[in-house]
Parts: sequence; C-alpha cells; structure tokens
Amino acid sequence: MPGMSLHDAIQGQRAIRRFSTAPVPQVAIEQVLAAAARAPSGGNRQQWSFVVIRDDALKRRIGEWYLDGWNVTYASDPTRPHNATYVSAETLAHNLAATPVLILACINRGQGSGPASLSAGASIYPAVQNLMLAAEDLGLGTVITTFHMRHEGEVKALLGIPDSVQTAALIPMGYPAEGEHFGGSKRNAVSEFAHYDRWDNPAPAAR
Amino acid sequence: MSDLTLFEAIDAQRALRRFKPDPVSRAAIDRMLEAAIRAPSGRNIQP
Repeated sequence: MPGMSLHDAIQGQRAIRRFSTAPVPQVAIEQVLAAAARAPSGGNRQQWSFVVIRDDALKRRIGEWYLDGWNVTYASDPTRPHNATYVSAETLAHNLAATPVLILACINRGQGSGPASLSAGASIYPAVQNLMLAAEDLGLGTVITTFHMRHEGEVKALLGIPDSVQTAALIPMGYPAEGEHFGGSKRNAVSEFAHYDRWDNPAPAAR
Repeated sequence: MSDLTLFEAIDAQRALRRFKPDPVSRAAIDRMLEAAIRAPSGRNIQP
C-alpha cells in the first residue's frame, strides 16, 4: 500500500517466505534501494553495496549453497522446532531460486580490517531494515536470512565480490504468494525486555 | 507525527547529536520500544 504510515509499516512487518512468481518491477527495486540509502552508517561513510540477483542460473547456484547452510544448521538438529516458522523457512530453503529477486546486502570494511564485529552491523542492518519496510509499502514481501554464510566465499566468487567486502544478509523479495499476508507477527511485551537505568529494573507491564 | 508516512520518515531520518534538556515522556519511550519489538530476529527468538 504505497503511502502507508510509518507506524502501520512497522506494525505490519513480518517475514514473507512464500512468493508469487510475478516479476518485481525495476522501479520497485530502485525504490527499495533508495530507501536503504537513507539509512545511518558509521561516520556517514555509506560503505554498503547491494547486489540485486535476478539471473536464474545465479539464483540456482546460490539456492544450492543456501539449502546446504539450512541443512547443516537444522536438518541434523534433533532439537529443531517444528512450528509454522520452521516449516515456512524449510520451504524457502528448498525454493530459494524461484524467488523473483535475491538482494545480497554487503559492507565494504576495507582491506585488512578483520572479520566483522557486531558494531560493524550498525552500518548495514539499518539499511536492510529500511529496504524491507519500503518493500512492504510497495506490497513486496521480504525476509532477512543468513544461511548463505556457510558458503560466503563461494557466493562472493560467483558474483565477483571483492575480498574486502563482506556479506551481511541475503534478502529474498517478491510479491507474497496467495494466502501470505503482512501483519500478525508475534512479539514479546516491552516489559519483558526493556530495563530502566539498570538491568535489574525492568519496565513496568503495560498499563 | 503519527501521520508521518513511511517514505517521509525514511527520507527525513538523520543523526541528531545535540539535545534540549527537556525530558522525554514515558509515552514516547513506550511507543519507540513498541516499534523496536516489531523488528525481525532470527527464528523470531527476540534475543
């Protein structure tokens, strides 16, 4: 719904993992990238890059690595949950290549800067969140994923990404499949995670 | 401010580093935290 309020966009955000095969217009891709570019980054250096992957052969190859990452993480884990989220994530892992667009969010940390730290994420994940909220505004579903990381070197080689650039997230994007809707994601109450002044001083429960 | 559209908010976003001493209302803090919890997290574990 173009023109949706900030509040509605935030409240309605949810992972979409099943996609229509309808193509994503180029103008929509440009709009979500423009929204990403408004995000903050350390020193306003904007060291992000986004690789928009639409080529079927590239998506198939990445899909194989993604599925391997998924299998290594979950398929052999006897404690894996079997809830709706797991089932839809498994479906995505087996069908990643059919997603109309894969967006690989990257951060250029320069030569010799060592592996990414959590603080480096402060310069890329706000842009990813902007991108995903803008997609929702355009009726496009997304989900933030990292299962390609197990094969990050191969993904980078496949796409010609320089050594000094690290991948931060792979974001499948497309129109939601029939029956998939925004909204309805479950979250804990603020009182369960917010602390005032000290860790042992939780926020009071909602009035 | 509640009527701000998503794209207006994204376009206007910038770092602010100098602040008035005025207190921030509890209602405003609650509203920001309510927005924070809508964000994605791996397997929705909200760590």
